[in-house]
Amino acid sequence: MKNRHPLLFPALALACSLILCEGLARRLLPEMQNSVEFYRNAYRYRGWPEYMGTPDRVDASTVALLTNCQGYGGEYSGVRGYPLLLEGELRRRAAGRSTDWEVLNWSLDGASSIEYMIEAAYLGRHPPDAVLAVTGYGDYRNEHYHEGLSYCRSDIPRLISRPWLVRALPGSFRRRHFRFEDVLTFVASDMFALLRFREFMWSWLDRRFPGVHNVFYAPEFRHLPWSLPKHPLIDPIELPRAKESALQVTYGAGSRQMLREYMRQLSLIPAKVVVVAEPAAYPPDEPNERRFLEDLKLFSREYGLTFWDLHDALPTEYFLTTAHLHRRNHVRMAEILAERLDNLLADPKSERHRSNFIPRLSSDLGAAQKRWRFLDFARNDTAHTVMSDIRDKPALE
Amino acid sequence: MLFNTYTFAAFLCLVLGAYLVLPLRGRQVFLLAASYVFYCWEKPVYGLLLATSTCLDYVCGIWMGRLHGRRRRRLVLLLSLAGNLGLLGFFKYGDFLAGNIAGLGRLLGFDTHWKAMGFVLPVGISFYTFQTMSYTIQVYRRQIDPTRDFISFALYVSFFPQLVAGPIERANRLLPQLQVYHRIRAEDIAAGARRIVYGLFRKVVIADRLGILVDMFFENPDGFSTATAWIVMPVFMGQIYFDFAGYADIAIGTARLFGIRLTENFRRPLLAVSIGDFWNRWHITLTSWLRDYVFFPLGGFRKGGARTLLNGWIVFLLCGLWHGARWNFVAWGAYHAVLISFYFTWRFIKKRLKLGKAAGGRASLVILLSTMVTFCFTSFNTLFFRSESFVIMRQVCTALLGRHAGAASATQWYVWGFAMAMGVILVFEWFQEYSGMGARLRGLPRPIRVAGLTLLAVVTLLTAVNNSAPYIYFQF
Repeated sequence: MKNRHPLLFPALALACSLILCEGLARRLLPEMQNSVEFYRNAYRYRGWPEYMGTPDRVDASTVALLTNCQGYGGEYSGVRGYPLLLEGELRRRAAGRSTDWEVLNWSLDGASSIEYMIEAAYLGRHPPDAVLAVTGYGDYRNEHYHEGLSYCRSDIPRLISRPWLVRALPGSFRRRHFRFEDVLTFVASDMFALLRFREFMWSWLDRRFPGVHNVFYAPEFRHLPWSLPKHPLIDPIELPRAKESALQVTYGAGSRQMLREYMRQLSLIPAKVVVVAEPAAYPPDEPNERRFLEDLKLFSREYGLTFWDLHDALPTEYFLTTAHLHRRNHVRMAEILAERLDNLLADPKSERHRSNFIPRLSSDLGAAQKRWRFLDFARNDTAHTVMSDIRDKPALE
Repeated sequence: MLFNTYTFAAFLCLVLGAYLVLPLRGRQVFLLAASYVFYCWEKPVYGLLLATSTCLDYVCGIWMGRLHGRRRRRLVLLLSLAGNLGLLGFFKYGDFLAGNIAGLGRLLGFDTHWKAMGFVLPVGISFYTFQTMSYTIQVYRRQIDPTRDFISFALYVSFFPQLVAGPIERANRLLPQLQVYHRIRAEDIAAGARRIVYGLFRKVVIADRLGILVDMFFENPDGFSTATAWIVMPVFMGQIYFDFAGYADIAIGTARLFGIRLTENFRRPLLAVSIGDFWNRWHITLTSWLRDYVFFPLGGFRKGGARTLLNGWIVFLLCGLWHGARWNFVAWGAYHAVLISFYFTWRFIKKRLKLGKAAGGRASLVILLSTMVTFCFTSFNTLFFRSESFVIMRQVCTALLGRHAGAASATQWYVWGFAMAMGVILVFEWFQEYSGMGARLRGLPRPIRVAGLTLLAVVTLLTAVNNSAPYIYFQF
């Protein structure tokens, strides 16, 4: 036997060891609720089927908010960003009614235009009651048009391991962004926990020894680690970096194409979809923004989507940058959206869709609810507290 | 296609699987097709260059085989060399030459208008050009007979494991292996797989990790302390060695899967005891190519001391230019030419004074000291190799002398971590070289070796650097 099949033993040993390691990785990888990232953005991390999970109550209306760094809220913890404030505001308005609200914050930080498409394709099969697509022209930078999936800063491209989702995406999008290596990478990391475990392990180390992630594992700025609730054991490692030039936001033919595709993809979601031009503090008559707004309006109409133009709805003095909001504007934004959304969905003519977010098995439902319970404090009380707290505070200098 | 990608893993599995099930006669053609797919993966158009070079040398080889007069054969050889060097010169050095001539013209007051052609350098052109040239030179010298088997010859030029970054194989070694039908043997598969895992570990765990510090430093030399600048030099030496040697390991391992044995390209060069020894251990196939086809034809050591030094200078300046069409590579070649000149002079003096070799414990000390001195000198060459321009080179020199903005800043602990890692690597290499560690590891029982290999594979998977950086030598 040994002589006839000399490779059998090594091959079997190798396969068994890798299977064992994979099993261990699956067992050791924590559920995503251990990630503090959840507060900020439930959809920037791992384990899709789990967190597609359940609303708190079966009769809750679910709103998926697709947006960019404005909702991602790098400046504030998620409880102070407008997505969670919006949920609080909607719940406050719905008090006494039979419907509860849940806002899923699917905001992104990075190459948003590519990830928007994947999110929208996912929602095509798992529609919530409403979709709020808040977007600005910075999301459609012309250079994104030529980038592969590996340019994304989130795990969302892992969703392409589902063939139905790939089929739901337009061919032009696939041809542009589905580079062979990227596809293999994301599919492999979706299928094998061992590959995700690697990132978890380095993120764990990074929480304990802040900075090791950049110094020893992933120097690329595009890559973001898991955020895990661990206490640092050392002072963060400071890396001297050369000054980078300011980001040039471009809007060209590629941008238009991406915007059109996104609008088309949104129109395929069987739910009430609202396209919102995000508030921004660009100089008046900024040509790119003007062109973008015209296109956004045009394409929304073309694909039969509701369009809300909020580009100048917020006072410019409460912006941290041209697109990032001060806390006061987060509150204001939540109020504006809540009011409009409440009216929109209260409208009896408005078509309602029951989402299929609810897991099929009751045991899954129980498990999912258990997983989500830890967020309760952030859902009702905290949101209201934070809102009243913010209203009384002066603007950031 | 990079070796350290999922794409290559999938490609290799497919090719190997198909190769195993194909009948023996179809395997050569299949490997040739796979090699072209590998090469044309990113830019299919450059497959034409490869095919042109192949056809040119195939025809020139047969033509030379028919001719009897040395003079006529030389004309055909010159035609082949002109074709190969023409392609290489146009794509690799065209912009460099034109830019420099235009610059010189401006300096002399001429009104020169020049715009870069901006060609993307065809991957591996320097490697396969040298490989095909070695074939025609060997045919010219009657060292081998020209082959009439076009498929084998095309495969010799384009065999995918060694196509883009060597080893630069000689026709008399590789061609006969490609002309016979190989039955896949289990020991070849096992040896190949072992070598691939080892190469991947060297590339994605060691080289890419060392590269993080090097990249950070060269991006902003002013931001780091003087000690960091000094530490980065040997760290880059380690990076480039493990990057290239890792590539060579994967190339050799991949070829072995198909039953082909490639030439070793490295022999622990970090432990070289002299600069001459270094070049016998580093990028062996390029060094031996330059030795056999440039240094010896120029006269080698035979025409006196001054001529030997001149020959050395010519070889190393060419070697620098081979690496890239930039002045920093010329400076790198010149630096090595200076070192080799000192080495030749020292050898000459030693011979004159009839100095013998040290013996016993003193010999070990001499080896240790020589190794350390050689390592320091060879590490310093990274200054020329890694700096993309003279401006950066000057910045790095300022940092090395402590006359930069970051001179007062403290050296971070992770920099010492990198220095220590380099130390561990050197000690490990030392044990491999002088204590027979490699042989002892090979003598371990099979289950332990398999377990060790599996562990290495898992460690590689878990600790690989996240961004898969391309191989440094791919740019040449």
